[in-house]
Amino acid sequence: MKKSVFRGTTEEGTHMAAPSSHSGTSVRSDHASTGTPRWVKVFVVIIIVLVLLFVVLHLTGHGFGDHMHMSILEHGGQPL
Amino acid sequence: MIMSPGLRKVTLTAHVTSSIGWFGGVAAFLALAIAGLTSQDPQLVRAAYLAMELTTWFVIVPLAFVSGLTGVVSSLFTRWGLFRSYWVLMKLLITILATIVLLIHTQPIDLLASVAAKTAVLGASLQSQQLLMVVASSVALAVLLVLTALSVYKPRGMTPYGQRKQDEQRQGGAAGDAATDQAQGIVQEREGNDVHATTFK
Repeated sequence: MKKSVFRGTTEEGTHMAAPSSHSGTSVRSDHASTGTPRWVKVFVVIIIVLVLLFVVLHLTGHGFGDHMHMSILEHGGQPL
Repeated sequence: MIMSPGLRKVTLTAHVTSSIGWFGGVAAFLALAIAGLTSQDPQLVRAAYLAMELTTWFVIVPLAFVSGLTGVVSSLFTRWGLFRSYWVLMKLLITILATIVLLIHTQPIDLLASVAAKTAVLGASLQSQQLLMVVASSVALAVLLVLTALSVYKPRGMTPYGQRKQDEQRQGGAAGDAATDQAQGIVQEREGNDVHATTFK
């Protein structure tokens, strides 16, 4: 039995296909569930963690900041 | 305002093509970054970083902007809306963040390319930058895969704004139906009177 990755995915087959103009099945059933869906909360938490990780890594010098102002020879390269 | 079906398909084609192209560009970038990090051939390493700079500025960055722009247009001028469904909103947020991170990472890419253009062998101090390119492009591929999955699965959930808009449309539709019923009733009544008038002539 097939299970969807996301709970309650819509049944639209095409990419960005417009929903029915008559408040069709997918959009109508969206309205039935009030509040923020669980998958949205999970996504928001993951995005916040990734952004914080990115900022912390760059602020602590594990990013690329220290290398940007060095000359080529300081990088240990051999000139042509 | 809703786009005509023809225009909607043109925008959608541009959006899908640019999104797939963005994914492909990042995949090619990852292959070059791995080659640059692991290869023992200095010529191949230099060529890889020069190619990565070109790929970034002439493929990945333009396609990222085209994908974002066509995505916004596709959603704004269709019934999906830009702020009505959570999946569209989430795609917008992730695309904006991914584009910002991409633009920030053009700095080390340019640095590696300039070093590769002027030196025969890259120094050991650039090892962390080389590793960063592999990690960043791997994460970017995963993020683009998530964006594609969101487009395909379209998980349910409407924002409060979307629910409000939908309620307004329903009320508008109900009022329209009531007006139509009333008009049909008047027409039927008139037709009935005409029949009576004809019968009694």
